[in-house]
Amino acid sequence: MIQIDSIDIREMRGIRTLEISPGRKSFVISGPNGSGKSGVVDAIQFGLTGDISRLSGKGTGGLTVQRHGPHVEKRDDPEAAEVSLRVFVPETSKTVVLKRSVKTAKTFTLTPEDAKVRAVLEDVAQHPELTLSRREIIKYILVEAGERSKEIQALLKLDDVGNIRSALQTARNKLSSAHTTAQKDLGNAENALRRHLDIKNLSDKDILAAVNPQRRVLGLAQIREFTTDTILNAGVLEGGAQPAFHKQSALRDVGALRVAQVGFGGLGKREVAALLTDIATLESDPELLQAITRRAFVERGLSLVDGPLCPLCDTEWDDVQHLKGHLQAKLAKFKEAEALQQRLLKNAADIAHHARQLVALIAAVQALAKAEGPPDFAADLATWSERLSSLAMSLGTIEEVIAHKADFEADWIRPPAALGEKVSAFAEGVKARPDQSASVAAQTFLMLAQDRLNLLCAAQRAERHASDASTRGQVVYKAYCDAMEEQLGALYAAVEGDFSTYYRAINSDDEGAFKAKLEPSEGKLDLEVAFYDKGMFPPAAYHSEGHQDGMGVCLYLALMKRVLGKHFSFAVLDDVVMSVDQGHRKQFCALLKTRFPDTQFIITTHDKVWAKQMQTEGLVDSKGGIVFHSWTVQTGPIFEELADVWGQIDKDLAKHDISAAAARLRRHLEYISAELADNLGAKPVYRGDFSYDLGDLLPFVIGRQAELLKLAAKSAQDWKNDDAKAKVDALKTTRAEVMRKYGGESWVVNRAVHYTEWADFSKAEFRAVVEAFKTLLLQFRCPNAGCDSWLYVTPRKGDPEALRCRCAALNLNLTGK
Amino acid sequence: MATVQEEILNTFYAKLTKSESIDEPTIDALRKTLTSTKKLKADDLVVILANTPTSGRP
Repeated sequence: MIQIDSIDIREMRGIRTLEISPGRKSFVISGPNGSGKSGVVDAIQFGLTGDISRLSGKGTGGLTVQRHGPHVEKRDDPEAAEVSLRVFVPETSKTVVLKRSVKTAKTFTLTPEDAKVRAVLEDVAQHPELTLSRREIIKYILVEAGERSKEIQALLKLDDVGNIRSALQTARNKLSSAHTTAQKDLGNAENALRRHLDIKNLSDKDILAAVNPQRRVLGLAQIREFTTDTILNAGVLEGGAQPAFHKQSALRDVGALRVAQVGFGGLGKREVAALLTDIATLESDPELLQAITRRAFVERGLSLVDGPLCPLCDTEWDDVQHLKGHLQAKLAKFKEAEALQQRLLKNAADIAHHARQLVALIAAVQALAKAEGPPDFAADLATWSERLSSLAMSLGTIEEVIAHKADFEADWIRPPAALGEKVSAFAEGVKARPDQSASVAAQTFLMLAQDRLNLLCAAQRAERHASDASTRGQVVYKAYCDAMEEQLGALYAAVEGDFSTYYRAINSDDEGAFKAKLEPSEGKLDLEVAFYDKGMFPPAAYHSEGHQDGMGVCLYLALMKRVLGKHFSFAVLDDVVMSVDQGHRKQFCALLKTRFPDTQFIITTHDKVWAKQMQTEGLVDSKGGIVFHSWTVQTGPIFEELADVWGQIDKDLAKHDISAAAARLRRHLEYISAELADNLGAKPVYRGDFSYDLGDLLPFVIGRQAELLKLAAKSAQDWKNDDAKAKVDALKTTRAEVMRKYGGESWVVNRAVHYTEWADFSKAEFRAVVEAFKTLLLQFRCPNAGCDSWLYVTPRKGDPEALRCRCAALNLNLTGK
Repeated sequence: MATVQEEILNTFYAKLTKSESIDEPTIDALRKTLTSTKKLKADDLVVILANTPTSGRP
């Protein structure tokens, strides 16, 4: 992976121009909310991935990097918004500059160009999780098991694992459904043979007991054993073809249809009632119907996603992951619709099975009617059978089921008109036929028996085939789930161990026995954690929000260790350390330092004290931070630049970039004015919104300095402290010289009030302004290079007693006798 | 280093090899489909799993 040496941001999000130099070490950005910290995070993420997660995902509809990535003043100029990252790539031991602009967000330039380095950086772009915000850690902890599984699988790049499981599950369900249909068809074929043979069970013994007497009538050999090769009418055909009509069998077939007809009123009644209720629900709730329609649409779209262009509406997304995430989020909303859909399709499938059963009964009578009965009866049966077959075949989707609403409301069976009379008449016609001779009856009995046995065998083969296929579907799906469980189980066990270790390291004082359990199952990932010695519970059950945040960070670190291993060399922790309380910060710093010594963390926090503590604990070094004071639209973050601001301004001027130099000077002066106003106890005009700009503060700081020097001079005189008097005189003399040189305090005030004009100055004019402020600010700083601190008064409240620096090289008494 | 996904697939094929219900050609067909760059469709899997011949009359 990478480590960042320096970051150069131009016109990006809330930042106009900003350069930061972490120097491949951990770095902390602190400042109050709204001071621009997240702008830096966005810029780093954009530089590395071409995307900004804050502008995508849930609740960000309509936001795009193209339109909302640039600074608001440059919203129509995406080319002006760019990020340059000077990065070190450990795998190649090379340092390059990666530059990316919003206009061409999907590509980046490399200087120098290097194929291996580019490959590494393209891989980095596939890891948006390198930037972790507080809202993102929640998704590892406070989500349902199914959602956690998805999030962690996405982090582990296991999207395809889930897709394969889902496809195998769908295949298993389809094969199972096909098997159920084959079983029903087999049942129908069995009934047809059983009815013809007039036996209750299709046992070998009963079959032979029905067949052999008929064979005896014809003088044919008895069948001793019923095997797969048995031909029931063997020998019959040698005597010539006979009409396939057997009076008693025909009467049983007709009788079966009549019995079924009696039950038409109740056949499928429960399923139809449920179907009509669900259809009514859909019609009364158009959004539900739309959800079902869109669900299929979105599902289809998701299956077709193969790039950042949405296959449904042609909208171009920043990358394929965000498009997929968007569609998956939509699918998640359709749970209620999904339950209704499943119920509706199940009932429809039951109706389809009833229809097939009827078709089988009709088929037997239809064959008789075609040969023996009145033509219109045969035609009626054919039309009825076709309609029922068509119905059974067209109940596979929600739209098809709804399309048959009228059938369900009226009569889905809808037999031919006067079916009962026609069947009765047909039965009477069959009965009225003269009895067949024993020989003919035996011949037709055996021929029909063989025909139905053939159909049964075919149905058995189809059922066996469908059963085997269904078994294979189940075996394959189970094997995949088992493999997933096995591999992910091992992975999660390792993650679980690391997670617990990290959390214990932070909370060793009160949760030294903490342990966690990650339990994967089909598409889910349960997380339980120990709450003292009271048992295992979901993380949100008893732990405070702060502890839950801590768990989120620890789980993230444990996952990243498994995902990237030794390549976990960089991460941005955006405000995720806010919940680490005072008592656990030392341990948190130690965790990052000792467990991830080769990882560069860029950390943001609104807590300046926390940021300082990171330096104290050695997580970041003394120059490894930047403090944002406030933010304005015109300037971006106002901050104290730990780097040499005057040197940076000189560089800007050398490039004739007055605008950048002016912004940098103003930013610095705004920050220092606020710091000095606070340090010295200046009394600016109070503003209710606490929005002080340079002109509001600097004149009062200068005035306050004069007051303090007067107090110091009086004190030195009162106490007859000659050394102090000499120091005060020297300061007053220097101050007077500075003021005289630049035209007095009014010049400073004017310059401070009218700073917006600086950008229009010539280089020489602006350099004069820079020199004046540089000299002025020296008056407020300890001259000792080892200290370099800004002067301040003590105590912070009440009458000032001393004006001093941190090292006490300057420490002037302000109290008189 | 094999990814978690590759390790899962290898374990999956090993389990199928031990299964009496799944023959070698079916495993090969699954391997080909699951490692293809084409979008995976459930119907393709149905065809593979349904097309294995079933022998004998009951």
